[in-house]
This record gives sequence, C-alpha cells and structure tokens, in this order.
Amino acid sequence: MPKNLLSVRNLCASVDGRRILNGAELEINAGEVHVLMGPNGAGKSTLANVVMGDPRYSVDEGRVFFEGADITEEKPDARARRGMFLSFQAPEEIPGITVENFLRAAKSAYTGEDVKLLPFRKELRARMEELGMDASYASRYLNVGFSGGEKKKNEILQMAVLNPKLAILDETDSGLDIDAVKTISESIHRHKNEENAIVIITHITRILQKLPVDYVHIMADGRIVKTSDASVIEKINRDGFASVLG
Amino acid sequence: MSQFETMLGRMPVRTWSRPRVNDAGLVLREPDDVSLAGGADIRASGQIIIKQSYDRTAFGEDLTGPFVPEGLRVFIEENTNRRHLIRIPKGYAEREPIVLTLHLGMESPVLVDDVVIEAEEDASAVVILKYTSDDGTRVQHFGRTRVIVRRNARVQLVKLQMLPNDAAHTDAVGGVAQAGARLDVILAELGAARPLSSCNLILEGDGANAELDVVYLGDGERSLDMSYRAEHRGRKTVSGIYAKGILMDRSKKIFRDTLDFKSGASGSKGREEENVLMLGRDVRNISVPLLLCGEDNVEGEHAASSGRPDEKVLFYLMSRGLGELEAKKLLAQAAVSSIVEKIPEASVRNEILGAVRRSIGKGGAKA
Amino acid sequence: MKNQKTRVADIDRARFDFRDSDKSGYKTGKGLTADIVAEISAMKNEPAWMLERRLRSLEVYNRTPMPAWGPPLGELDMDEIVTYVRPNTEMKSDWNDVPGYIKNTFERLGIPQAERESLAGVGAQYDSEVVYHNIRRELSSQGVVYTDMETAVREHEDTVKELFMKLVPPEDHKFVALHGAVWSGGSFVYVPEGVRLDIPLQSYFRLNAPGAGQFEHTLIVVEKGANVHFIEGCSAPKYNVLNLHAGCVELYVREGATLRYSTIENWSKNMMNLNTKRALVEKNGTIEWISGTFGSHTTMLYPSSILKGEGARSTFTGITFAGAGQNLDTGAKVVHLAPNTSSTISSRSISKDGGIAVYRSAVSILPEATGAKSSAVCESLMMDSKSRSDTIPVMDIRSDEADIGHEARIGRISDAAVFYLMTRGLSEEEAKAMIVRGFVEPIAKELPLEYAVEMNRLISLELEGTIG
Repeated sequence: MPKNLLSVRNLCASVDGRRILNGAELEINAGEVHVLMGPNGAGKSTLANVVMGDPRYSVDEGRVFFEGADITEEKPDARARRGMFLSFQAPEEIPGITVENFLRAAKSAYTGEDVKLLPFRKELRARMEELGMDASYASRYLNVGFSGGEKKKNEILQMAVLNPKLAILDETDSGLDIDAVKTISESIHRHKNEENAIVIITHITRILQKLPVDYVHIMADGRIVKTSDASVIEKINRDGFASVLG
Repeated sequence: MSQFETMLGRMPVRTWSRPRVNDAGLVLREPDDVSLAGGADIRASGQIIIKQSYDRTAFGEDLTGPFVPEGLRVFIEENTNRRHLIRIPKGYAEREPIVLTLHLGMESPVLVDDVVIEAEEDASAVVILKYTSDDGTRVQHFGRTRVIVRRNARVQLVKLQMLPNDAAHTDAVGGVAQAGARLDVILAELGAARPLSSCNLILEGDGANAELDVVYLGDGERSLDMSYRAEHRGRKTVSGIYAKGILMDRSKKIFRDTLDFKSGASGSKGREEENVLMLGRDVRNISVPLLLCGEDNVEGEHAASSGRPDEKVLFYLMSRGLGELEAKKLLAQAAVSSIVEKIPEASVRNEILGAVRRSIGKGGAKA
Repeated sequence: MKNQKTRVADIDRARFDFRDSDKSGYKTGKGLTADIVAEISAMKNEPAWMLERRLRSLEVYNRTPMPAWGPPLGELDMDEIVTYVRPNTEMKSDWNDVPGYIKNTFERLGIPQAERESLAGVGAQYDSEVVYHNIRRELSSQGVVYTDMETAVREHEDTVKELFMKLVPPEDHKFVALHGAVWSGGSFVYVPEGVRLDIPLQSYFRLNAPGAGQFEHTLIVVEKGANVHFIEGCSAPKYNVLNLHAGCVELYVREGATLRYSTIENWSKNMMNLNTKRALVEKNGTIEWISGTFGSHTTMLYPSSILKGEGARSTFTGITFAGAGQNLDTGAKVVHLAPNTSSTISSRSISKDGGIAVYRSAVSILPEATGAKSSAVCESLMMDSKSRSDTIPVMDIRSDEADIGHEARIGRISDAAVFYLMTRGLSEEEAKAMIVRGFVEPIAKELPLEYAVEMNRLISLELEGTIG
C-alpha cells in the first residue's frame, strides 16, 4: 500500500463570492506523477492555490489532508513545512531580497534547522548550474526584472533546493522555449523519486515527454470530471478536451 | 461696480511658502446689474427636465470641496444670473449630448452661472457646457457646476472654455458619484487671461468610478491656476486624474492634483498623471501632485513628465516632408488627442484641436 | 453692496487665521533675551563677530512667525527651551529618569552601559577620546581638520567667519534663527584639495561635546577634487530632557568634490526634531544624502541641494519609519541653477500603528539650468488603516530644456507576495518583515555594514508585535 500524501475531498471554494471549485476530489500517493488538464477557467490554478492555503480564496465545503492530517485550516507556511510546494504560474516580485538570502531563509524555515552559509551557497550554485542559470542570479532581487522563463526556472530552482514531498507545478512550462522546457523537465526528473509526488498543471505536453505519468485528471467547472492513464494525453492533443469530456 | 480682492486656498494641505502654490489671489467684481445675463442656448430632448431655478439647499454638502472658500461661494450665490438644473430621470439613458452654450458679450459682460446636473438612479447622459464670447469685449465669468450621479447612473460632463485672452474666468466643478455610479469630467481650459479652474470629485458609494481629464493650453501671457481632487470614501472606488498640457510663449501654469483616500475606502485605486509639452523657453511650469492616504488597503499612483518634443519624432515627421511648424502642430494635437477622443460631440473635438493648432506659430513657438 | 463686501472678506480671512490659535504663546519668544545670548557667547570666549551674528539671529527669531504648514508644533514649550539654553543651568538628568523603552532598546541593540548613559545624556560620559585620537592623528597627517565647532571658531576663524550661516541664513525659518542665536557644539570638517578619505568620519565620536544633539552646528568644506563620507548620529535612541532639536548643517562641495552625508537618527519619542541641512555644490561636484528617520515625536527635515556649478549632482536616498504617536515630515529640496545639473530623489516611508509619514519635496529648475535632469521616486508603505501617509511634492520648472520625471506610489504589502513567501515556509510575520527589509534595502545598501545591520535590527524591533 503506497503512502498517501494528498487527499482532497469534496473541495468547494470561492473568491469574492464567486464559486470556482465545486467538489473537487484528488488522491495522490508517494511515488506518483499526476497531470491536471482542462480548459481555461476550469479551476486548475484555483485548486493548486487552495490546496496551498491561498488566503484570497474561502473554502466553503470539503477538506484537504496531507499525510493523513487535516490541513484545511492551516496557514501556507505550515503546509510548506509539511513538505508541500507550489510553483506559481506568475511568481511574485519581491524587491530588495536576493534570491540567495530568500532561499536560505526558506530552507531554514522548511527544515527547521540553521542553514550554514557556505555549504548552502555551494549547493545553490550546483542546482543553478543544473538549470543553466548564471551564478549572478543568486544576488539578484527575487524575480525582479526576471523574464517569464527566468521566473519559471527560479521556481524550479526553489523546488530543487527545498526538496518537497509534494510539488504542484502550475503551468511551469508555459511561455518557455524548447530548450528551457527540456532543462526544466530534466530537473523535475532528477527530483522525482519513490518518496515524493508531482502534480503538473499544463496545456502543452512537451514537458511530460520524459516523465512517467501515472494519472491524468481532466478538470471542468471546478471539479475533476475524468481520470485516466497517460494515453488520454494524445487523444486530447489530437481532438481537444471535448472529445474526452463528452 | 465695486470690487475687492480675496484669497483662495488652492491646496487641500498647505506646503512651502515658495514657490507660491498654497493660495491664489482673486479679484471679485460685483456686477452692477446681475439681471444682464448673457444668452443661453440649450439643446436637449424632451425627457430631460430643465429648470431655471432650484432649491439652493437641496444638494447637501458643498461638493466643490476645499477650492471654493466661503467668500467665493457667497459671491456666486448672491450674484448668479444664470441658474440651471438639468435632471436626467430615473432609468433614462439619453443618447444625444445635452449641450448648454453660455454666451458673454457687449450686452452681458459678466456671467455668474450656477448649474446643477442630477442623474437619477440608473440614468445616463453626456452634458456639454460651452463658454463663448464675442471678441473685443472684456468679459468676466464666475461659475459653479455641481453634478450628482445617483446609484448606478452615469454622467459625462464636458466643459469647454474658449474665452478671449483678456477675459476673467473662475470656475469650480464639484461632483459626487454614489454606489456603482460613474462620473467623467473633461475640462478644456483654452482661453482667458488667468483661468482659475477647480474640480472636486467625491467617490461616495461603494464601487463608484470618477475620472477627470484636463486639457490646458498656455500661450501668450496666460497664467493658469488649476486645483483638482478626487476623494475616495466608498470601498472599491476607482479614480483617475489625467492632464495633458501645452505651454508656450511666456505662459505660466500651476497644476495641483490630489488623490485623497479616506479611512474606510478599502480596496480603492487611484492614479494621477500629468504630461506637459513645453514649446517655449520662457514658460513656467509648476506641478503639485498630492497623494493623501488614511487607508492601507489602497493603491495610489502618480506620474508626471515634462519636456520638449522628442527630437527623433520631429525628425521622423520632417523626413516625411512636414515643415517644423506643421510637425509641432501635429505633435501638440497628438499630445491632447487621448483626452479629446473621449468627447462624443465632433464639433467640440474640432474646436479644441483647432485652438491647439492655432496657438502654435502665433508667438514664441514659431519654428 | 458695501455690507456684503465686508462680510465676504471677513469670512475669507478667518480661513487663514486658524493656525495662530496654537502658537500664540511664543510669538514674541518671551524669555530669550540678548543678555542670555551674550552670556552663552562669553562662556565660549567667542570673537565679537560671532556674538553679533547670534544677536542678529535672535532679532530674526523674535520677529519670525511659526511655519504656516507642516505638522503641528503645539507641544513645544519655548520657555523650557530658554531655561535650558541659559548657561550654568541646573538641568542634569538621572539614569533612573530615562524611559524604560529606551533602556530596553539599548539592551536589545547590545550597547554597553557606559555608552548608553552617554546617549541618554546622563552620568559619566562615554569616553570615545581614545578611538577618536588615533583617527585624528591619521587625518591631520593629510591636512584634514576635524574638530568641534567651538574650537573651529577660534582656530579656523577666517573660514568659519566666511561660511558660518551663509548657506542657511537665520531668515530661513524660526528654528534656524533660534539655532543661530543659541547654537552649541557640532563638527567642523575641512578636507583639502585632492584628499580622498577612505574611512568615514563619524560625529558619533563627538556626542560628548556639551550641548551636542540639541543645537549643534555642522560645517563641512570639501575642497576641489576631494572626497569624504560623513556619518551623523547613530541608530541607538538618543534621549534628552529638552524636547527640541534644531541643528543646522552647512556643506560646501567644491569643484569636482564628492561628499556623502549619512544620517540614521533615532531620537527618543518625545523629541521635536526641526533640523536644517543644506549643501552648495559647485562645478561637477556631488552631494549624496543618505537619510534615515526613525525616532522623534515630530520631525521636519528636508535636506537641500543647491546645484550652483555646471554638471553638479545631487542624490537623495531617504527612509522614514513612523510608528505610534509619530508625525514624521521628511523629504528633500533641490535647486538647479546651472546647465547639465542632475538630481535624483528616492524616498521610502513606512507608517504603522497610527503613525504619520509625510513626504514633502521641492524641485526647482531655473531658466539657466539647460539640460538639467531630475527624477524622483517616492514609495509609501501603509501597515494598517490607522496610519497616514501623505505625499506632497512641488515641481517648479522654468526651462524647456530639462528632463523631469516624478513617480509616487502608496499602498500596503501585497497579500499575494505574503502568500508567495509563506508557501516557501516563512511565517506571516517573517514574510512581512522580509518584504519590509526588501523595501528599505535601497537605503541599507548605501550604509556602511555595521549601520545597515543596526538599521535592520531597528526595523525588526519596530515591527515586532505589530504584525500577525
């Protein structure tokens, strides 16, 4: 019996009185790769953000469990410290805080341990090199003046450094050129093991080519309407969502 | 004709005494005979209620805000020789602009007008006020225009001032937008010797919108004194104050704009922007953009820029065969076009663009 | 008609009289007499010309009204000030009288006891002479003069006589006139042509001069091609029994010279800080202002740069942090007098717990300043809806050949940014503190490391318990 990481049960959530999630259900176990697809406005990003505890959404009904613990009411930082990670579709720009200082503070919060400067710097350099990021990015302000692609790489860098149990990647591949998608895909592959799980929200499927996808969920109108294996991806690419939703 | 000088406070909050921006002196000349009103021409459909009088106490607080001190208010109320109430009835959407033309001339050199525009719930209309004059007569205009936009109603007010270069002009606009209402005011200050223009917009109800667009033209010896303000009271209100100015010859201008976020105006946004095209060496350009904020959950922004026409753009236009003067006229026209385009009446658009074009090449802005 | 005219005019005048009501008590500056001023001068063995200047300032002080704008100054007790400035006054305070929150902050900042007592203006004075002595030896070998103002009046009389209160005349405003009459203490710095000092000069070492931190006068001359960094004050809270600080700073930056003037001030929360700072910059010279305002009850502080020579430059980087009960009115002034002069203003403020932060500026471009460039960016952070943040800039442009830009923004910490940081494991408090530290980073990075560290610690202290 594989270890359950995330369990989303009948999740209903709204923003500004507008209902976005309508009874979403999702089960994710350690060692699995899940893909979340669906038309624009289906609620994919909302599901990711609500699972991560975004205070802008209110949870009207349903529960979220992580490793068996009910985290529905937990703050985002508590969820992060449990080993959850969200790669944002549009990461925030934080002026005045360098990538290195931020990641060191985050790593320390994540692990609950002091992070020594020199070993950390060495690790960060190594991870950056894998992602083809210039070392100078470490001393730049967090996401400030980064191109779309640089921001996404920076998200994956954070995943690689923090090493979460569950990583939700929200359109991490959109707006990237072929080489960048390949680099990021390789990084996800390196990160992946039998102890952790990955959820990939995507429109394009190039990022999935090298990854062993276990489940594909199709979302529509705020809930997951269909779950199948990786073979459905080809059908969607060819015939669109309507062909699998009908 | 008795006259006396008074001091108008022009800033919601005072600052340095130099350069002098806090106050403006104003000579108030009482008309000998207020019955000598100039001609007025109103174009409006039958559904619009138009009255020559109204209950002066009917409209609550003085919407003109900090820019009309007691002295000027009393002066206007006691000397008014043109009083109009324009009411757009509940739920009625007027398609054609309502145009009120106020004319000053030999027979009526002093105009003191007091106009109230009231849009009832869910009503909408465009109201255009034009101030014109015969050449060769020294005229004086003192005006107050108040606009009440009730729930979910929509009003666009356009005021076009094209008085002769020696005319006196003191004008105050005050407006309030209730919940869900939208009030747009466009002011074109293109004439007079020393226009004293003000506008105070109150975003009273939740979700109210108000925007003020100002086009001003400084040519010859004109000295413009302008004070504008948007006050956010309701939640999720949105305001904008945008100005496009052209200065040339020996003209001078003071432009003060204020966004005032009151405590409780949570979720509101406001933006101020002023762009000045400088076409002369001897102009004086003073800007005082204020952001006053007593609420944390707001976004307020200001940006100002000022400078000569871009050399590269001038060169580009001239490389296509335009003379320098014509190129400058084109750039001046372009500078104000984003605001002028918002006016639905073609004749008013053309009058503004015509005045801008005519002013260039007359004096020091010659090529 | 006649009646109506009178009535209207009366009502109108009343609008501008309201400020008089809270300042009627000290219109005449009662109590401060020529005798007291002469006594101060005699105590210091001053030359006659200095006494004359003091007496002229006193005259100006007596006839100058309180400022008609800015924060309310009703809490000033001018009688008490007069008592204090009188020589031989018995106004010694006791360590036990120093407010608890200040003692607490000393402790949190890790300041030694002896130094604490000096900062609080009580008891044994912190002996900085040893440190200072070594620095002085090194400086004098390069011809640099760094001494207290009283000594400078005697030993560098010609220079002081030529420059003292010429850049900031007593007519400027009431408090600088008061300063001119009763000034005491402060620093005099003279950097000869071509000398570039690597270590910053710190007025910190001069704190034990009598009267320093109250009406001190700073006069700095940086000669042609020379370069110096002067640091005024420190981030530890300074406590004085008297609640008025009216210092005056005059900076002369000669051709091609560079002066960086940094201040982190953290006056105790009862202080009215009404300070005047001005720099005159000649051809291709540079003045760099770094200004942090954390303490005081009320501050009015607008460092001014007069760009007199062609190509002169000025940069102003300021941070203001207004907490409960504070009304901090800060900003900058720049006058462009010559061609191709340039100025930048970068100001940031934080207001919380009902604090009021006001940014006030004036940038003037005169007709002869062709090719002048000026840009200002002003950002204000509101921590809660009890606080206030106002931005009041004035731009006076009289040259069409000038490139002017101004931007201002007011808002709060973005919820989305806090969420983003929290998803990486930081608590809400840590996330907000991190964003605030990032907000003040442009100032912190301009300061020497130990000051930047202190400033960050100070911000963490100020934020503690208010977030969450």
